[in-house]
Amino acid sequence: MSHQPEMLQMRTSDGVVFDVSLKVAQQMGLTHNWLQTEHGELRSSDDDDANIMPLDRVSSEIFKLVLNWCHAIQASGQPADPKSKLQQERTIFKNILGESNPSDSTIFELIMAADYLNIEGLLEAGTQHVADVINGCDSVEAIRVRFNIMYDGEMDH
Amino acid sequence: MSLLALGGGGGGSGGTEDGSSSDTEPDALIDFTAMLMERKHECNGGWFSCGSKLQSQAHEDHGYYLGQYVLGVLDFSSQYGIDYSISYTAANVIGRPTKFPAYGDYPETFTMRTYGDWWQQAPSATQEIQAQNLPAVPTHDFIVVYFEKFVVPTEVAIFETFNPGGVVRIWAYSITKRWTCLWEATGNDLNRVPRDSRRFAPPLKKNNIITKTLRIDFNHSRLNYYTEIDAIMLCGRTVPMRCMHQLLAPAGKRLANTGEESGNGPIICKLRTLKFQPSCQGNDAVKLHEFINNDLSKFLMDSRVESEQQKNTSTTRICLTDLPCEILLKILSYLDLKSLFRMGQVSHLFYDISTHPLLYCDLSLKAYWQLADSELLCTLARRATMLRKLDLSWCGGFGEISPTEFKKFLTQRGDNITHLRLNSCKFLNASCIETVGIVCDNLIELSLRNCSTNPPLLNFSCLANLKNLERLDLFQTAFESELLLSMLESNRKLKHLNLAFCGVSVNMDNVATHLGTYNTQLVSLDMWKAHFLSARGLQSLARCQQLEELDLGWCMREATLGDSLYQLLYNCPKLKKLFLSAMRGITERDLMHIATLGKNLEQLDLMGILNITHERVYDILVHCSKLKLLDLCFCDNLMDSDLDVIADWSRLFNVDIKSSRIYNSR
Repeated sequence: MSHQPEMLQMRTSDGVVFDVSLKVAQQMGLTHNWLQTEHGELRSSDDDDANIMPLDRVSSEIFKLVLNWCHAIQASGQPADPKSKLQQERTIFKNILGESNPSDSTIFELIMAADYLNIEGLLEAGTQHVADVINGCDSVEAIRVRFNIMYDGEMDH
Repeated sequence: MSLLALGGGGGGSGGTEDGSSSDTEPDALIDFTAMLMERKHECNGGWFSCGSKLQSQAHEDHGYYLGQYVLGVLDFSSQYGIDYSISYTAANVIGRPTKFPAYGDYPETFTMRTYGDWWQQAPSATQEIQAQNLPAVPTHDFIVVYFEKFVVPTEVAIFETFNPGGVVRIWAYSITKRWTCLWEATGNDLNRVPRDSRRFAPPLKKNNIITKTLRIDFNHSRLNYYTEIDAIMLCGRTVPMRCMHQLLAPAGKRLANTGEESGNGPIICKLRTLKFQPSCQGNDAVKLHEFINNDLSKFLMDSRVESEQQKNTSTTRICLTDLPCEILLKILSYLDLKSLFRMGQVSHLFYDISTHPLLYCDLSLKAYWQLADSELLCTLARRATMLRKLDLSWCGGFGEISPTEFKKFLTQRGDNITHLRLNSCKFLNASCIETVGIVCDNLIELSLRNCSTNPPLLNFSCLANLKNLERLDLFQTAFESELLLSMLESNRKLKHLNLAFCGVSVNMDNVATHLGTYNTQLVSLDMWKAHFLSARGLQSLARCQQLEELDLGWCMREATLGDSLYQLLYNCPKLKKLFLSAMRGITERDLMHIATLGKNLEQLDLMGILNITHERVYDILVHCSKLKLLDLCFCDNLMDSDLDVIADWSRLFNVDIKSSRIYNSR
């Protein structure tokens, strides 16, 4: 009935409920807002539904990746300086994408989730990842092909 | 000294370190400024009579293969010696090699001011502006040299006589006024090179350019100590006279075979988007039949017409263009400038995003020095409405940027700039500097390295309006003393000051007194090769108690210090970097003070200090627990046996100790 104070329940857009430790959940800026407004004191109300934080814009598939990220960040601890922090974030990002070559769509959804949930590190790592792909394209046409972008007429400067 | 190719053989003794009047020979005094002014130098042919031409047959009609050494130096970003000297200066790269194949630390070579990563670790280190523009192996320093005859280059050989491995790029300036990169180092090239002299001639890219001007780029990161260049050779096939005349015909002819995206008209662009074009010749019915059977599905897919089947399997698939604009802006903010411009051509949406002013707050064209021109500045001026940091270092060296365009740019966008770097910008004139002074009154950092014109561009009160400076870098730049002194009075928040190589016209004692009075927040000070610094000046500096970095290399020379060094050490406990190269007046007591008072020292240069004994070295190693670098080269009082022990201490205390022993054993 009443859940432990250290856990938070979060429900994604497709109805799946996740049990997330409070510490991990606090990596998400959105959680702070939720905890302040909706969930002022931990109440042992019978209405558990009110204690579940809704994530209307994130699907369960993507949320799993987000949780992977948060757990990995927590596990690696505090890095020494900003530079190594960036390094660490980029490595973790690559890891959670894993060997299964994720589609662009997954990566974009992950970026949007990071934006919605307000996780700065994940947003930076994701956007940097896409920037690296763009930097790797040798020509304008290569960019269009890579990201499936339609050419829409003469450019005027 | 290296000008006397006719005489053959090295001139001065190996021990000369600077150009005191008794050492220099008349023709060794190189009029550097004159050389820098001369772009079109007609050769008199005197240099190459000693068989440097590899002649097959000197037919005027056909051209011949030729190997030639440097005739003159047009520009260089850094040198160890001072201009009027013959030791360790850029001019030493002229003519035939004088020391090669010998290996060692010889003053008759071209040496740059820095090595390794030590300067990046020092308190005076700066951050790169728009760092994403830099290549994986960035260029730290460069030298631009010219030769006698135009050739189509087949080989460029660089004679390295000390710590080889610093060369990372070779550029050539063709008669079409374009710079081409003939060779670029990859990761493998930077692996530890054996410490021996070498004739470095990497494989050049195939090219058809005609050139007699080269630029060599250096990266110091992996170098253990200074790298030294004895000579540079350019080999290639000369071009017959009549061909030269044709090629130098009036403008309008595009000779270079670049042509990236030739033709950008609307029709051609439209055609490019069509990847599939069914061929219809001959028997049309059969062809059409075949097309429908074999190629139709592929055609549909290519033209992005999804079948019903596909639509069902894929859920909501997000494209790059579905991301909100703020996120797209964030992604684009990581791109280097070249990719950003490229992105702007992808579609109208990306054009709008890629021209957003937020992407042009930090702007650096240093990595694109070979491409930067007035037109690019003009384009950027339209976008950079929120400009804060600007780096135009190395750009416009051959007239590509006009002073007028630069002034226009600055007048439009310069009033909020906080960081401005104009290192080695040859297009600058006095009027440009004045514009900086008038428009950019919010400057916190001003870097004007390598601007050594005569008379100096920095004169009168051209920069008097600047009152918020925290960093002023005038490395290798000439300036009028009165200007500097008035700037010191106005900029009380000054933290970093670099006056290396400012020359004989500046009295450093006066500068030091000013600093001790007006600029007590000073954190780093570089006075390398300054003149007229005495014990009095050093005492004045002791009032800058926030000092963390002090470079007094080659200052003071024989002058006695009294207890001025003691006072400085006592009053500036935060000192992390202290360079006292060739200060012969340093006594044993001074060395003891360094040990007892230099608690925070990380980098210590005691090169050429004669009174140093191995006991003092031990003292310093024991007491300066944070020490990382200790330079003991040319400390002639240290015997070989001492150096053996010191090598052990280097490992024991984990300090990188430089000594002359590294190569003397040859």
